[in-house]
Amino acid sequence: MITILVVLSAGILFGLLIVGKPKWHLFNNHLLNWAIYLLLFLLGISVGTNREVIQNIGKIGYEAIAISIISIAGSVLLSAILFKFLFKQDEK
Amino acid sequence: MRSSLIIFGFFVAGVLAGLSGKLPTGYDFDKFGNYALFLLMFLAGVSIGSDKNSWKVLSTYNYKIIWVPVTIIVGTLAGSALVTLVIPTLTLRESLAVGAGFGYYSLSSAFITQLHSHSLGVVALLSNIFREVATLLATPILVKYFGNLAGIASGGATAMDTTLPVISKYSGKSYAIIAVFSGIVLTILVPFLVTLILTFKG
Repeated sequence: MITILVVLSAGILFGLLIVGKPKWHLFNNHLLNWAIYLLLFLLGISVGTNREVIQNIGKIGYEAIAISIISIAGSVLLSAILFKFLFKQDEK
Repeated sequence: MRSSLIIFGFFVAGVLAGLSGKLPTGYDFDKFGNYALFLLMFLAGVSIGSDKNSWKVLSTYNYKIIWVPVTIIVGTLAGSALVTLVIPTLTLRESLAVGAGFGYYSLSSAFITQLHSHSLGVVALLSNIFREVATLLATPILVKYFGNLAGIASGGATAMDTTLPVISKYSGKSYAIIAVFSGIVLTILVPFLVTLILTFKG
């Protein structure tokens, strides 16, 4: 975990050096996209060669949908309370 | 939306490549994935650090706005915790880690795959893609019944980019600024929260 946070922090510090340099931002965004593609492709390979995942895809899909729906519900309900007490008064 | 299709396409291509059984043997793809994760972490850091908005939004708006991402984090994690009551096979830690993606499926699934397991990585990928899609579809209804913050809450980290247009349309332009702020805060927190949840000894 420490390694990951150090790498992330190093990235943020390096990012501070290129604030206001659009060409670098564009380049970094390209690299970031391809790093994501690469990781998802590798994740796909792991999944495709992993019998356990393939055999349990129904259960995995079910868990995924349950987590997203209940998480959305939790955050939306709390945001409704926040809206009522702090934000609604600002509206005309 | 287009970029999510591309990302999902790469994932499907990987699955098909894996299923074909024609991949060269002898490579440790997991180890490879680990290095790719470090690269991704670094690049994600650079994009956070170099974005003026990441820092500006923190100082420009009044204190009220900070409650928006806080509320979304608490609501999301409370919801994820409740899921373990419905699905007892999921541990609290697993469910929280998936929820803490806040819709940022690419980064969170990559992290969870490396830090936990492939199957939970796939849960995270599908769950967080679904969060984005559900937000795109349901924001008009959510805003109508739960107020102008509902789309921002549902969108989570995606409220700063992919779901911003629909939020801006149904909650109004002034809420677009709040959406970007909240989305940026959640996006920055995803790698930290997921790592903390999965590695915290307790």
